[in-house]
Amino acid sequence: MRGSARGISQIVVVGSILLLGSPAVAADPVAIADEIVAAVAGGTRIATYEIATEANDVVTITGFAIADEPNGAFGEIAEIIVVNPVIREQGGFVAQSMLLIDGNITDEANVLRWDVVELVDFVVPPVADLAAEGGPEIPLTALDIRHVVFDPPQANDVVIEGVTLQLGDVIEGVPYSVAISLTGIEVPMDIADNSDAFSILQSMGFASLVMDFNIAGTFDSESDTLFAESIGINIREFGFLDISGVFSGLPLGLLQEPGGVEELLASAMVESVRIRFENNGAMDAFMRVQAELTGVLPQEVAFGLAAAFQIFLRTLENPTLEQQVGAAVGAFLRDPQTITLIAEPDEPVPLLEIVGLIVSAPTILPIVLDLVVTAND
Amino acid sequence: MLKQIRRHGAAALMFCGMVAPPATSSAQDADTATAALAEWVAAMDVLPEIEANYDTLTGNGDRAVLSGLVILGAEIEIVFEPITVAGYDNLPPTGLAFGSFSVDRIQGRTPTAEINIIDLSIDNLVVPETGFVFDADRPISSILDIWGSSSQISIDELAMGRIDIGQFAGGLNSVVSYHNYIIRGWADGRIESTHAGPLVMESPSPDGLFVMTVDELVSEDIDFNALVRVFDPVAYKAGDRDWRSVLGHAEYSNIILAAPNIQMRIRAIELDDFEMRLAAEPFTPVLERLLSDPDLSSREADSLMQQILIDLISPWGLGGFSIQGLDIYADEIDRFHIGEFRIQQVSLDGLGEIGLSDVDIVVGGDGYLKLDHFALGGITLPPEETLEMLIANIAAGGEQNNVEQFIPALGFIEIGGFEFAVAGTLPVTIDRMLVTSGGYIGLVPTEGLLEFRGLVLPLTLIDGEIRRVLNQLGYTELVSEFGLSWSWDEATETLLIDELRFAVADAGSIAVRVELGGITRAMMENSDAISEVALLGLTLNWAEIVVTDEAVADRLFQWTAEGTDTPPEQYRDEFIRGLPFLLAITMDRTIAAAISPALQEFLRAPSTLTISARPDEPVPLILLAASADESPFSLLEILQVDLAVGPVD
Repeated sequence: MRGSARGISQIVVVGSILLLGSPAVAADPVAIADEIVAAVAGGTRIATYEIATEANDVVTITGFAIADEPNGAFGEIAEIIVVNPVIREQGGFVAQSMLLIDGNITDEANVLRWDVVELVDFVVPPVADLAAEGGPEIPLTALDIRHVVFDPPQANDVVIEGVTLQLGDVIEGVPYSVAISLTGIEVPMDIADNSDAFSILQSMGFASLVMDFNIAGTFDSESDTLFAESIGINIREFGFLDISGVFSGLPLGLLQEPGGVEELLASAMVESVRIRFENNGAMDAFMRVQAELTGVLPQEVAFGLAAAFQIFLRTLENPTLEQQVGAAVGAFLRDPQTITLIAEPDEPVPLLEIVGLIVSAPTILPIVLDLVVTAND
Repeated sequence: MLKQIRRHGAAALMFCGMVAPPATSSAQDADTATAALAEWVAAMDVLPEIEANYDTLTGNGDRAVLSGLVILGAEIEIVFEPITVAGYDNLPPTGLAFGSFSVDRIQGRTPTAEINIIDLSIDNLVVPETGFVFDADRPISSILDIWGSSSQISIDELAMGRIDIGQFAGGLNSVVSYHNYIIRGWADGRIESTHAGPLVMESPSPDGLFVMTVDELVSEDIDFNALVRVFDPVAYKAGDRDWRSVLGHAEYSNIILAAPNIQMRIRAIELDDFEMRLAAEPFTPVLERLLSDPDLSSREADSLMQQILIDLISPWGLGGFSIQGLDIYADEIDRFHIGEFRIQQVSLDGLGEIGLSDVDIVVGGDGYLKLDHFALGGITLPPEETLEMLIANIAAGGEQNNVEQFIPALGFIEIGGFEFAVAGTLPVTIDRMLVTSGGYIGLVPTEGLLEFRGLVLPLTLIDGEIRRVLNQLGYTELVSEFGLSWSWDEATETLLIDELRFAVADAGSIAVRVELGGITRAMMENSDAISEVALLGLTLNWAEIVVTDEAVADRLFQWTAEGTDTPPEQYRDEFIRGLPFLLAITMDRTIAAAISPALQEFLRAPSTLTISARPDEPVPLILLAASADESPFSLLEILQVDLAVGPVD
């Protein structure tokens, strides 16, 4: 990437402070604005604002600015709107929502701009204190960012139409239900011109990629089971990949212990997995490019691949695999719409066993996982 | 060994002197039959260590009866009871003749053997001169003299009702009995025919009684003259190597050999055209010296034997020998049958054929073998002078050079209707196998044919991995054919592989024809001397590969499709349509595009794909090898390869 990693990290730090770290004030608009300034400022970083007003329990702050001259970082937010703020006895404030409108942060190499950032049920004390004071256990329940533009040097802008975060099922300050989505991520191809993947995509006729990304899941702490409802990436005019699954044997408490990660991986079990790809042009582009390279028709590429794959499966001498995979892959190659892999083993399969099989005997994996592949459904 | 020969030769001569008609030097003047018989007895009586007596001699004119004739020799006694002659005539100056000569019984006895002849009769016996003098220093010449005299004997018919020959050894008596022994047409050293039968031999042994019976023994067209002339140095003519028949035909029929727990039956043993010819050089003088000179050292004797060994062997030739209808019956053998074993045209020149027919052997619990026909032949032995050189080299203990000149050239091997199985397995069968070769240069046949038809291999004999694939394709056995034929043309220095073909029934075939250039006689004569320069001259002139698919593609497409329940025809269609892409990602796309249409057509239905390479000029093999290594697909252009598809023949 041509963007400065150091600059990006600074922007993210400052943005996080703006979004999450502001201390609360009472309905006094100046106090609220000062709390925000105090929360943001620190070290060589200075924050200022022009005007803070209040009407109908809505505080409006304009001309908010941040400067960190030694590090070459600057930021501006045209308007900050805090809805229904309530001063907290411990300091800081709680707001029904806070909106950061028309902002930007710039360092020596990069520029980050956004239209609107909305934080719901926003709290500004140290997070560790929330449970002790009997109030909200997490600093916000939802985040909504609209139209973010990242402008790296010597490359076209990366645009994100929207980012959302939903937190729920909070127990002892931990949200056990999380939903994140990024929509309309527009990535120019010149942002990573050394990438093989990008080169391939460019050869397939893509000048830029517009992607959506989402994660949604819940965790059952009683059964130590993660329900990954959706981990999806959608590349427009290319395809949508969605992964979901149920993973048990995940006592998250192990993460706090030495060697806990290894123990967690060792105990992790796969109950089920579902992987689905919806073709929205990727296969067509692939076939087209291969056809041009080999001087044949795209359909001949599809037939050739389907036939060769069928022979390959035949040589594996795994009738179950053939039956479960071959027909669907063949159908997908011939008419690429959707292909779905569903693994629902009778008994949970250890995650490490799966990893081992991927390395040592990948063709057995479908049997172990009782894999069923369907196409175009 | 030579001492043994000498000893046995002398013994044989003694025997001849005992049982052959004795010298009649004193009978030639007898006017009557009685006088002739009396003088004949007297003549025997004067022989060394021989005593001949009789009881009575009666007769009148040309008729006589001699009773109680006993001839006694050293450990031998022969009794004639009685001898009756009629039609006596003396043949001046030394011969005699009988219209009939008969003996009711002749009994000969030695300490270890006994012979009884019942009902001996001779019609028209003429003995012009039977006298001879045996010279111990010229044993063979002496025998030749006997034979020479015998050639003047003539007999219309000699018949013996029965001959019993008994031998006594180890307290066990074995007996051979010939019944109805008849000799017809003995004249001029030739015998028209002999006949005997049945023959019964009983030989007891500690393991039980061994019995052999032969229904009939026949010999025809016997010519002693052809035998005699080979040993007679006087008869030699330089360059005369023509074969002359000694025995036209001999046959033993319906032979049964029985021993405890086993019996063998032979329908017939036949021998045809036993012939002899003169050796390149007369060997009799040397052989006589070997037989008679007691002062010869072993080394000298060996040297002399090496000198004449080829000449001793080269006169003999056999037109045919066969054993027909051989069956063995034994507890352990369910069936053992050989329809015919035969040897044809064998001599020092070579072997016409050795073969077997109608073999059927079943060994209970172990397996079986069936063979309709096996023959090996057309074998040409090296010239006599080469063999003599080989013998001399071996005797000298020298190292053999150019060994290939001593090795016989094989003409053909043929197998038909072969079937073999080990118990519990499926049989291996060969309908026909034929190997022919000829035009030998050293060990290299410059033309030949190798052919297998109907070779059936049960898949259980094949490597497990291949067997599994074949099973999956629906094959439970492979019925295959293989053919290879080649010829070398010295004028053009080209080797034509006219056919290298492998075919599997209900599958397909691949046949290759190719012409290679730059193959010289020097390469054929001495492979060790082939130089790199010579190899550089090797070229591929043209080649053609014909691949015929009868069912393989069908089965492959069906097998591949069934794994995913895809209709085979759909899979086949898609594979064919996708083939250009699959080819294009594995080779130059231009070449792929050029060959795709033909391959697509070939795969669409059972058909024949002909891949021909006909370059404008012969292409050096060295260039092909380099191109194959660096850029295999460039060969298609270099060789101007063309593909054509046609129907299955």
